[in-house]
Amino acid sequence: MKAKFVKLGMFTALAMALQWAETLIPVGFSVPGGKLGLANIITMIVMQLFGGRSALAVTVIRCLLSAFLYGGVMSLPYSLAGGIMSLALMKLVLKLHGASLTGAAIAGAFAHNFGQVLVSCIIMQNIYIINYLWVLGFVSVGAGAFTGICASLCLKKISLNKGG
Amino acid sequence: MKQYFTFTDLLIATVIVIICAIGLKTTASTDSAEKIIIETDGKIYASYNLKSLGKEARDIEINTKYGKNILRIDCEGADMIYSDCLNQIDVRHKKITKSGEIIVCAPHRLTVYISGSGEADAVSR
Repeated sequence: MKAKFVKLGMFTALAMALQWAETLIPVGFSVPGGKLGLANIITMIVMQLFGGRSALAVTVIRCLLSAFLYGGVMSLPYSLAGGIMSLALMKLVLKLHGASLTGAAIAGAFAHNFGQVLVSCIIMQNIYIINYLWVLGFVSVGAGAFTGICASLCLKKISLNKGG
Repeated sequence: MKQYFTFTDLLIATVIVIICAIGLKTTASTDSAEKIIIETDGKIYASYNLKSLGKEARDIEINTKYGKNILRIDCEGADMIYSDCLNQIDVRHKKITKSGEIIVCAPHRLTVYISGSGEADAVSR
């Protein structure tokens, strides 16, 4: 039990580091607001190794800590909405017949954008913001495929070193 | 070990691409651009009629309790050229010229969009 908490803590730290490292990548996508979502790799790994609840805990704690560290408290509703929506949809997609982590990650990336755009629409009371979703949606397919395959590769390595 | 990319994954990706394509198509307004509207916290901060603006660009300073932005406007549209926000997503956004296009500065709760003839405020609520 203790070992599990230690591991979850380490995964949270790793997710935060990746979230920061991502900002160092020069804006590869020309779409404003587009990003790879590297922290989601960790969310997926935790989800597969420890289950949905642990993944939710890691996501919420990461959002809280990142909001205070880099984003400012104002960014908290956006990251929470994105993170929780994405995790919920990923869990759902994995129940589908034949879906792999890649498909889950693609759907999750889209759900993340959807959650953030929805919260923006509510906070700024402007329905036009939804126009961001369509463009970001295309990005989410590429970014999701990338993070999904990364997570699968990591999980393969981890399962080879079980007990470590 | 599951495969890295299955048929179901491809279906999911396709569905998302189709949703976004339909979304892009249906929200693309055919109205001619008429006004630049600046809103903070869901309330109109200022609006400019495109026809009354000259070819020469004007810089509008927007000061709110959240921070400062500078918007460059001319008769074609609007472009955010400065913001003291953290993510700078609004500054990286391209110039908006068509009706329905929008620049959002989420940290400052600021939206700048172009409204077309007629539909202006009914849609934004």
